[in-house]
Amino acid sequence: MAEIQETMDQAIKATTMKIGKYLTFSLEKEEYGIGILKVKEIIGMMSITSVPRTPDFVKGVINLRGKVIPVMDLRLKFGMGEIPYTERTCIIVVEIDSDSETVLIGIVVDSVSEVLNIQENEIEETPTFGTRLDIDYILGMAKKDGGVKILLNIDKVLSSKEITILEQTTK
Amino acid sequence: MSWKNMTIGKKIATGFGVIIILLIVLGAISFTGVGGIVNNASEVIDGTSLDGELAQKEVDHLNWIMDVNKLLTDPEVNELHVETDHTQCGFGKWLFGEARKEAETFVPSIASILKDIEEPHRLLHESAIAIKKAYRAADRTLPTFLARKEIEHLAWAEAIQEKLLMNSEKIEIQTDHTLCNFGKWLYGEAAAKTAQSDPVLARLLEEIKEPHKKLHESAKEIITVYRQIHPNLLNVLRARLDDHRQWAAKIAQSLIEGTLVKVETDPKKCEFGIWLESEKIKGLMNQDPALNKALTAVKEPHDALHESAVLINDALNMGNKDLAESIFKNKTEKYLEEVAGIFEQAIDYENSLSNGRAKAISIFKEKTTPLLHETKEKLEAMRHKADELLAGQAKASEIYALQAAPNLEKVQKHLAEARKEVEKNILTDEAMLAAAQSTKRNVAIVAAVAVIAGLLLAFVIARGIINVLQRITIGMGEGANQVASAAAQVSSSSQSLAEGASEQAASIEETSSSMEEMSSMTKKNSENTIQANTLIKEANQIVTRADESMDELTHSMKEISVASEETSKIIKTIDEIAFQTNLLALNAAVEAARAGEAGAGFAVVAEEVRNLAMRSADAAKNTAELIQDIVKKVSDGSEIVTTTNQAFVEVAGSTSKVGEIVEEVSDASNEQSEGIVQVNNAIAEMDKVVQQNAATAEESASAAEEMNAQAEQLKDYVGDLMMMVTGKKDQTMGSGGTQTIKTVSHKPKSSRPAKRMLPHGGHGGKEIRPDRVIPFDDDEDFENF
Repeated sequence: MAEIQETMDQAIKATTMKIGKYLTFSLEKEEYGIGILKVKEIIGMMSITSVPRTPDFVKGVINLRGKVIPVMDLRLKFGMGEIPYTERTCIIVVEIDSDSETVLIGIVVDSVSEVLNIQENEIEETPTFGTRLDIDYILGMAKKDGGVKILLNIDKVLSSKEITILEQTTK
Repeated sequence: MSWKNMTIGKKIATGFGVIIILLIVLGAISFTGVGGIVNNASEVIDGTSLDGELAQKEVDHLNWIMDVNKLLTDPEVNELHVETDHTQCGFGKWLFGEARKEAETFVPSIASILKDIEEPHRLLHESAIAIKKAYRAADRTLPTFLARKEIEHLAWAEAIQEKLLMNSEKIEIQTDHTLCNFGKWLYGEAAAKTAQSDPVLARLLEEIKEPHKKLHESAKEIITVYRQIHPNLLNVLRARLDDHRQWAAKIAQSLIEGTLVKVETDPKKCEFGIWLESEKIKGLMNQDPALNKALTAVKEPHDALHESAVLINDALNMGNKDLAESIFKNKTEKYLEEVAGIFEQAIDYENSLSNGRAKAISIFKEKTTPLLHETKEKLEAMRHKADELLAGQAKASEIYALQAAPNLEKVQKHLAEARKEVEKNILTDEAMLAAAQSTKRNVAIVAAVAVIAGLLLAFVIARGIINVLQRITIGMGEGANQVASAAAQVSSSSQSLAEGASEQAASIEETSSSMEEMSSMTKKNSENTIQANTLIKEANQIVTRADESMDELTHSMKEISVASEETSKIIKTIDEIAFQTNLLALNAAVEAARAGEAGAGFAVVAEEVRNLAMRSADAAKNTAELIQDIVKKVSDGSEIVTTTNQAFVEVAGSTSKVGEIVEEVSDASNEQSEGIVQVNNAIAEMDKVVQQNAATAEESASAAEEMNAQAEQLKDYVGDLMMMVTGKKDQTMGSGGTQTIKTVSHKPKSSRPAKRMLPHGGHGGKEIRPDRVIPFDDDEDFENF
């Protein structure tokens, strides 16, 4: 019982302090991180079936071992401009907490880098860029090897409406 | 062909030709000038006649309007006799006839003005029609005259009435209807004229005659009836009669009472006596003879009456009452009756006077007044008629002022414009005169030019001929001199020619030996070329072998390139495997993280696997780079091989060319030796020619002698010609002599080199140059080799 409690505490602390392991990937020369527990799987690029009448950043759906998952291009979501996919392009399958359920979504990134263990002293709060800017989707900034990696709160990257749209593409 | 180069015949022909052309030009100018003057004159005549015609039209219309005006202003003229059709009047006929077209062709610019004129002209004539219609012959003074006459008659009647009322002594007025002012007019010529002018007026004049006559006759009647009355006279007479009756009654009373009669006994002091003696009555009596007679008659009984009273008083004083009574009865009553009778007579007379006046007034009222009214009405009717006529005249005047006059003005304006236009367009006399003057001047100028040109040409041609003749004679003189000296020179040059021929023979000997040497040199040359040819063939074989080795080298290079590509494919596969392994390791790490504490060890393994994957990826990358480098170098090498190969091909080409050239050299040498043989033959022939030359030189020396003699004879002829041309002989010959030497000394200099050129050309023809026979021009090819 005490052991469980300890694990829970650790988990809560980890969430609040944002320390722990992150899967890092690159987008347009920048490094981003997603909490490793959010990651379901990393797969190489595979054929995406495009779905009509979806937003631009939604590339379509893939068949992941018999499971149909919606895929979005994070570059397009972040408004970076589309580039042709290379052999380094990967799809990170993440679990997103929607209102009540957990949704699997594939995110197309330029390349996957590594699994990083971020310590407490390496985390900085997100600087406020101005009151109007919505920065909920950024957990914080990780200082590592002289550079800064942006830690994403993947749950907030997509709005609930967008998640619904993505969900609907698979139904 | 310039003037100087022309023959004399042509010069003369040209001169005469120019003069004839000038004469033709002069004639043409005169003809056209005179023609122009004639044309101008006819134009001037036409223009002037057109101008005159237009002026005439202007005057015609002025006359026309004067006629119209006369109708309106001259009482004598009552009818309009003018042309009312605008196409039939003089100008109209002109305007709508052929004359206008002629004028328009003559002066085109008046066409528009004439068009403008048509409308006002038409309106002008139409206005005449309107005036004719509106006009009535009327006497301007008639209405006022009639009004005055009306007033006169009213005044006339007024005078009658006044006199009647005023109780005038007499009524003196005009009673003759032919002598009153109106009557004089009415029965005069003026009325007859007026009656002629209008039938209505005539009728009215006839109608008025009757009432007018009657009116005056009524006045006559009044006058005959009228009597002046004496106002109060009647009453006075009656009162006085009563007075005297009372006076008599008083006497009668006194007689009855028997008292003294106390009455007025003096007839001059009774009221009647006083009245009778008064100045007023005296005046009346003087005026009226009847009254005078009565009153004078009454005096005597009146005096007797008053005397009777005195007698009665006397009788009474005496007491004789009977006497008094008898006196009263016999005298007083008798005289009273007498006086009363006379008084009654006077009163009756007065009554008759009153009746006459009343009758006159009634006549005035009953006859004169209605007649006056009638007369007045008639006069008024006449006056209205006259007014009406005058209104017609006024209307005619208005039409004249508003339509005729402005239109006339317009017509005149346009006519004036037309005239101006015509004047502008036609030639005036001065212009014609100027044209004639200019023609005259032109003719004079051309004639002067022709004369001057003729003189000039005569001078030039004569001078030209004389000059040419002079030059020819001088030239011939010079020529004769020159021929003489040339002949001398020819003889001397013939001698030097003979010397030259022997020299030539010696040179030919030398040439012959040189040719021997050249022949041996050519042979040697031929041998050398054969040797060069074999060497070149060997070089060619070597180049072919090198070419084969180069091909092999290229082939192996290509094989290396293919192998490198295959290796790089393998490396790519390795890299892919490393990437997949990396992904697997990452997935493993994710799984390990999900497993939490339990996966910690697994996470380490996953990390290691990932590291290995990364290393193999690096190694693959390095290898790939190396292979890339090899491939690049191999391609560089193959490029070099290609360049080398090209160089060998060029060398092969050069060698074959060298072979060709050597062959050509050999051919040239052969031709050279043939050429030398030919040259030898030519030299032999030359030797012969030189011999002949020597003989010819001798002959030419003798010919020169003869030429000299003929030149002398020529000189004599030239002298004669000179004499004919200039009249002098010595001077020209002298000057010719000096010039001779100069020209002669020039001539041989220019001719000698030409002679010397001949042997060169004859023998050489075309010199055979070794560099032409053997083409050494492609020196570069040799260098390359």
